[in-house]
Amino acid sequence: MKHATRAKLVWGTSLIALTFCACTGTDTETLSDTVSDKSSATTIDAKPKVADPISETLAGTAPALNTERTPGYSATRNAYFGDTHIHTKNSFDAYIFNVRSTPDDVYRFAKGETIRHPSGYNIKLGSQPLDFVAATDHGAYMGVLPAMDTKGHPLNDLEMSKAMFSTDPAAIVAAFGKIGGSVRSGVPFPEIYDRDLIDRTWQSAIDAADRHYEPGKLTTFSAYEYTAVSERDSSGQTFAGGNLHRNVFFKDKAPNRLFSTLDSINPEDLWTWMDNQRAQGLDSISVPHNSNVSDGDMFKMTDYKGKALTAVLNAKRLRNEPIVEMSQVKGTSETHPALSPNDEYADFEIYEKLLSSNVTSKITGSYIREALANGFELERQTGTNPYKFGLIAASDSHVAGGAFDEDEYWSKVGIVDGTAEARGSVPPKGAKSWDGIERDENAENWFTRWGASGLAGVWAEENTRESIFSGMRRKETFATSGPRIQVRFFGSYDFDESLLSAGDMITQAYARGVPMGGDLVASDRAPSFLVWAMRDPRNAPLDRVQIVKVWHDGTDAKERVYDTVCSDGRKPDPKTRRCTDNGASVDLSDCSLSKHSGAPELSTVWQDPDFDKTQSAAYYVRVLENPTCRWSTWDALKAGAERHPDLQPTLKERAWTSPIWYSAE
Amino acid sequence: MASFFKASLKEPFVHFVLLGAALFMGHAVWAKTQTDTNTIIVETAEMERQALIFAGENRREPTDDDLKALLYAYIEEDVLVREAMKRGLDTGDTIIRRRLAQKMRFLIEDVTEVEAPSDAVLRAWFETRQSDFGTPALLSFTHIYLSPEKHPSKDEGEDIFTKAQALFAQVQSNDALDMTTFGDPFMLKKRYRNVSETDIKNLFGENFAKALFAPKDNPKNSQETLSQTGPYWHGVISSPFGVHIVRIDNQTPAQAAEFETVRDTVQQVWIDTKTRETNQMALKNLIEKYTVEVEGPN
Repeated sequence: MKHATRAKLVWGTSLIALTFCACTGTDTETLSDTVSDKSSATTIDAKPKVADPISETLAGTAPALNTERTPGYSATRNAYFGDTHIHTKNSFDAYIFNVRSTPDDVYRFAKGETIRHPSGYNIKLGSQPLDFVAATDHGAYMGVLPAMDTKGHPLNDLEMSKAMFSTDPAAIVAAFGKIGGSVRSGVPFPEIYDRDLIDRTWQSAIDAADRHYEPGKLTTFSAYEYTAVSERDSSGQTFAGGNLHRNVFFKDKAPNRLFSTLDSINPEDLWTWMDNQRAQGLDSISVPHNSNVSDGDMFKMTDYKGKALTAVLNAKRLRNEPIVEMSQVKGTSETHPALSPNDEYADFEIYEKLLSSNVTSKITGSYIREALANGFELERQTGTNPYKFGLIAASDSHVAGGAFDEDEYWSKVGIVDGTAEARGSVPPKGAKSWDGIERDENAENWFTRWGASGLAGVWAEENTRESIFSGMRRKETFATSGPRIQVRFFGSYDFDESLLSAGDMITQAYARGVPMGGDLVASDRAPSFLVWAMRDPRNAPLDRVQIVKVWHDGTDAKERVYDTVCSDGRKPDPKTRRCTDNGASVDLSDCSLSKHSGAPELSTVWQDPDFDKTQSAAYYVRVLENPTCRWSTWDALKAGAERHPDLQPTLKERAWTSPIWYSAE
Repeated sequence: MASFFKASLKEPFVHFVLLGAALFMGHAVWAKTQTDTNTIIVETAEMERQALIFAGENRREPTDDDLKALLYAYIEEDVLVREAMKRGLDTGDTIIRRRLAQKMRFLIEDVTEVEAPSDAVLRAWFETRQSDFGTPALLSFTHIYLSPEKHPSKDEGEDIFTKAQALFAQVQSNDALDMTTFGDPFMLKKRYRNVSETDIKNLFGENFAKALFAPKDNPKNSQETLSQTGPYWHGVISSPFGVHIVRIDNQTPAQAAEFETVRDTVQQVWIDTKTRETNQMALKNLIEKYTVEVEGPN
């Protein structure tokens, strides 16, 4: 049974692999982190909010937190690392990629245990266990494919099941296409839309999350993916649509039924449903991901149907989507070289093909840096900024465990890209050279462009659902491209250099400023920012810490990138705003790193030299490591083969913080 | 769906899948009718299957005209496949070879479920690798951190080590000092409780972990150190972050696993190991049916 299924699936699998790989994103609004220069104390946001159940809830519950503390509790908050986007066999696409892992495997992997990859090898975290994790199977048809493939289950007798698990690739592709088409169109196939089965699978996912939750050690969330796709045009050619996927996860208790695209393909309806659940005490957040392949639809300037945005809808989005997953296996969505021509580090793990197609996604509307700027313009037009989100990253692994390390990479879609040859990083058939090799076009366009990313970082007092979830709502979050780089970021009108050597630096920073995700109110004085980054000891030392400033001038989204502190004593040139190169290099013959350059930690207090008190702006931090080998180079090195000539041999791993917003009067 | 299908026919990946499909279908037909290579028998079951796919893609039953079109398309494809096979176009095609090899690999792997062994077998196996299953030694420690960024030196870190030694001398003379108030701000914790060497390797790098877990004064007699339980000063250790002055607060020696308590884990590892061996053996058995001659020098 086991091997037969596998063999049957092989043919159809490749096509399907690219169809649905969606991820998470979360966004939160929290206890107000607003500071003014009128007083040195943190003040509560004076601006009245639109009736906001979240602020009310948090304001009501926060002081009560003071009861039982778990080990590791810290009032100045710890960095917790997690993965909020992982699929198992209960996802209709993962099952076709021959994935048989369960939500239990997701949690076992997160704890540092070894699990099996569908291509027949073991996978395990290279670093310490994750602090928090969520299995996020596609909500639509959750658990239906395993049932269709189970002898004795009523769904197994359907013609569609016979086709799906036949030996005929055309039939497999057609049957899979039916399901994929239905997920995207939102029109269910009655014969396989077994609500009871989906509810039971969802309940088992909730049970698994609850079973593995160990306060103080591992935080789990009940979660699933809402798999919406916009259509590029009205022809119904939905395979080449814009990815509007989100992961929805619940703070603690979860409802009996999930809301999938089979309920509505309009994400605004998802927010309505989440509002209703919240009113009943079931708080959740939705985290969009892969805006890079949203065809410009994730952060567009209108609502879902193309009408003008309103303050009410913007507030609704922000309430439900306080953070965004901006880096994962299918590319990094910070910015695009075309949007950021003056940012020499913008070309990082760019992936642009719409799901399972070779159609290139529209750039405008697809990247978070531009969206953060456009948010100010939407705020000017409507009174509310819908794109005031924080940042995280996640894996979007479809094999129950994320590949975060470049030197131990297994990509995403099970048997389809589970070997170096399948993902196109080494020449086929054990060849050692790419000379005269006809490249597999899909490996070229898809798998070789995917990346070993990423991790979500949350600053929280302790490792509990309450604390981690609140950190996400507060947007006190950061994203990394895989390494465990830790980064602090505070804004204030009351910081100076002496803070950097203070033993209680962080206590002071919280007392006199706001952390990442917070707000600074209008001032005549330029705010100061404390930035402090620490390397991952398993990876390369740090090269530099930058601050990216974004704003909108009423016509265009604007941005400026500043080096704030660099390794090896380099100082930014006031004109170019850049430090020189630190000379770090990689020996491509063995991926070893040059010595004597780079820093273990970098910190500074920085002021915006171009501060304009009349201009609202968002500031976020980007930390850059010294270069290291990309996974494709490691794959080739291990195989003793020539590395792929078209792929970047090295990359600069990085971390990004959520912004701090300055609001002009 | 129909338009998806039409559009996807331009996609090379689809070409590749369909090529595979065509090859397999062609092979099946060829096998059945090889006595009469110029007769194409279209079975009722085949047309029913085509109709089912059509209905799935178009959300309606096919009309007679649709069926006719399906039939023609099927015959066209079948003829093309047969002609391609006659001309040997399937041989030497990299993609087809790779796919066939992959399919065969799936056929021979994991054919039989490896059954759990008896307790006696499992126990004997466990005893040869007991250290894989036990609880490792655990340490609790506090450290003072000095950052090379805050104590730059031109001579390969000499200054920072000198400073660390001086600070070490100062603090170790007074166990009552609150160590967390010394040194530079450190982003990770200044105090760790009950961590293993692996934990520390992940957090502070391999050299720091090794140094931390090495007995302090008597590297040859680890028992002596491990029997110490009270706090003691370990000294100055460097890590990828910089330099640390370390005090060990407590330690727990490694504990061997009891077979009974880890039985399930041992069994899973045993099954995984045997499955892997069986798969390798299956492939080896196939390879042994062949004589391999490698031409040319070397």
